[in-house]
Amino acid sequence: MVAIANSRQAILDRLKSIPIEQPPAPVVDPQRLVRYDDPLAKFTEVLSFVGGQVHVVERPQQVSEILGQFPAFRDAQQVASSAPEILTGNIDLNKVADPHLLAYLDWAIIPGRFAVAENGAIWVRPTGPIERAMLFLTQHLVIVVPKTELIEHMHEAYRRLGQDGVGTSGPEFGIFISGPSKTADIEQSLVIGAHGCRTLQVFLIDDSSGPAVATDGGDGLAGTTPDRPVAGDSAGRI
Amino acid sequence: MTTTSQLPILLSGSGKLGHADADDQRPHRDHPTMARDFVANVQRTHWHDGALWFVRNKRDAQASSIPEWEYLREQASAIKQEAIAKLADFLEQFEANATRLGAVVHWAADAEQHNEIVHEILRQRGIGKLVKSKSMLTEECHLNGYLERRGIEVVDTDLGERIVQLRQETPSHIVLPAIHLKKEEVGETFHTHLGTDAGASDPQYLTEAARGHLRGKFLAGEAGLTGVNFAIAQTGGIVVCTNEGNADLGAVLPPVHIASMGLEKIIPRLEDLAVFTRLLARSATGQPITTYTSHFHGPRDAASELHIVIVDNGRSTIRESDTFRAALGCIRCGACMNTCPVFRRSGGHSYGATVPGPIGSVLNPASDDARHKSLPYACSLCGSCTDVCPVKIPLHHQLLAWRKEFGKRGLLSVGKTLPMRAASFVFRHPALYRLGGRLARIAMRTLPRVFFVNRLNTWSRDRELPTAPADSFSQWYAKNRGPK
Repeated sequence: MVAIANSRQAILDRLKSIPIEQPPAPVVDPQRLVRYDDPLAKFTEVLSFVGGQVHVVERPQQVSEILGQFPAFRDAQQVASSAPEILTGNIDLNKVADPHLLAYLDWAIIPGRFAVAENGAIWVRPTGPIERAMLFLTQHLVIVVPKTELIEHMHEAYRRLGQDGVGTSGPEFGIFISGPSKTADIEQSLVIGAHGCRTLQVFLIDDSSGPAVATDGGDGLAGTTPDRPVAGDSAGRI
Repeated sequence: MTTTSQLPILLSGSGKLGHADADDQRPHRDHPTMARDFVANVQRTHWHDGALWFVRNKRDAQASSIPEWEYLREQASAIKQEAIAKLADFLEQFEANATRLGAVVHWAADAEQHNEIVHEILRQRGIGKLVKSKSMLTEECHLNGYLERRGIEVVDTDLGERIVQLRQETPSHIVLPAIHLKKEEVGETFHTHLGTDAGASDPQYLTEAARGHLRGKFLAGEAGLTGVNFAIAQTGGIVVCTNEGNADLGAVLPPVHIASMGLEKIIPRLEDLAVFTRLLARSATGQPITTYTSHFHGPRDAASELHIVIVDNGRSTIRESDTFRAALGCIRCGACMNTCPVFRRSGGHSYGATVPGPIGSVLNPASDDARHKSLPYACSLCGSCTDVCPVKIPLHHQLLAWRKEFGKRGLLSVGKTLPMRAASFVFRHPALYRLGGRLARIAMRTLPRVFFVNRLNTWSRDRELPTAPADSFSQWYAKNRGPK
């Protein structure tokens, strides 16, 4: 183990012994990024393409009405919810001490922070290890997102994660989920329902009169890292 | 059929050339020899070619759906170049942030140290069952064999990897590990190991069986090991991308999560992920993004542990070469393999290395030039790999550079050097060139076919020589285009 104890320094020394001059990568220029005329249509199209289902509803109560149309939901033995204002499950997550106890979970419902039009992904940040385990152990997953929280692309997504201080405040787990789990490892045949959820239902809840799309608002992607030039900007700064 | 797959340890800081483990000491064969069995089955070769071309087409559809695709590639390349240039600084920053979040960071100079570190973590905690998600790094280090010999059960949980693990094979592709197998073969394997119905080969049915089998393994796992797609210096977080959800199940159930990463996985900033998450899955499988893109910042709670093992294993050597440095930017999407006409027709196992295809043919000779010297020739220099690479690695230029390098290092066989020297001599003597041309045209017209098409001339194995023209090009030009 002595060799291993020295490895850190040996690796760093070796890397430092060969200095390489390289300017920082330019900041992404928001002007060059795709814009969608209808982000909701794009989101719906992409999430359907990857095997998920999108429901736009006006009232939270509609969620259980729509889910009730699925036989798999009606027959569910175990339902867990971390969005009790929308749907109550029959498992009290606060009383689950060990994630293994969720092994037979049929349905789970969780709020998502925002949805991304370009790739049908939803950012989900479970509040603790049990909620996190629920996401992957459940047979069917439901994510509810306010319809106002629909953004265009991943640049905007990571700008928001930066604003939320991801990784700066302490340990945490967050995930983009786009569709149900899947595999094509056998002869490139797509099979939905690999290890994680077999189906994904996404509800966009339109219970406000606010704007349909959370836009960049001009404060944009640039300027997050002022020491880096913007691509194509000869002044090197915004 | 089992094929050797080995990425030997590079000439590491200690100057020692060694193998990670003792389980792969079979004599090494060159690419044409290894490909022979695969190409002998013409139907299967075409099937494999078609399967990968299908993925390449899906990639094209996704790439063209993003108007700023080329801009993203430029950004990705610039970010990776920045990361590689200031690698030591970013690694230290990453370590400090990951430690602040409660992760334990380990450093391994080579494959052997990586395996030792992982084993020590498991041994100290009395862990006997490890569930793994896909990690090409652990394949490179031959971790499975190392742990199994020490009494630890290792279960690969990516479906493709589980299939090849049950068959005692190695992945033939870094993203599609079982792409070389037919569903009937998977069906036989599952019949033997998982008790599925004899003769059953429906992918839906087989996947369902694997799901049930692996759920049990997940629930029984005592530690989970994942790879790392991106490690963020700015935050100390790691990002893992999967479609199946296996990395997350492995990380969410047992109290110990070990994440193994090559040191080149570092990216400077959180916002850089926007570029890479847009490029990775589109390039790899033609999906808009992977189903799960998990961001781990520290262990999941006070009762859990997150260990991050940073591995060099020769990567720092590649960084030192101006010619090959850019190859460290590889994000392991596999697009170069899917597009490569040689890979599609010869199969991943013919490369005799953990990372096959164009990128493997660049990386492997850096670790052991003599062993992998045939790989840069498994290439027609068509340049398609360079065109699809999401981080703009100049792959075909690097493959050509290796050939030149082998010449300098005296690694080429007489069969290659002698004809080259003869050709060089002839090209420098125009009269000799003209005479040779005339004699060749006469010979091709008069000598029996067997003189050209025989076992010694490998070029003619699947090809016919063209009919010799009556005149040389110079003669033809003088007659048809020259001054009257």
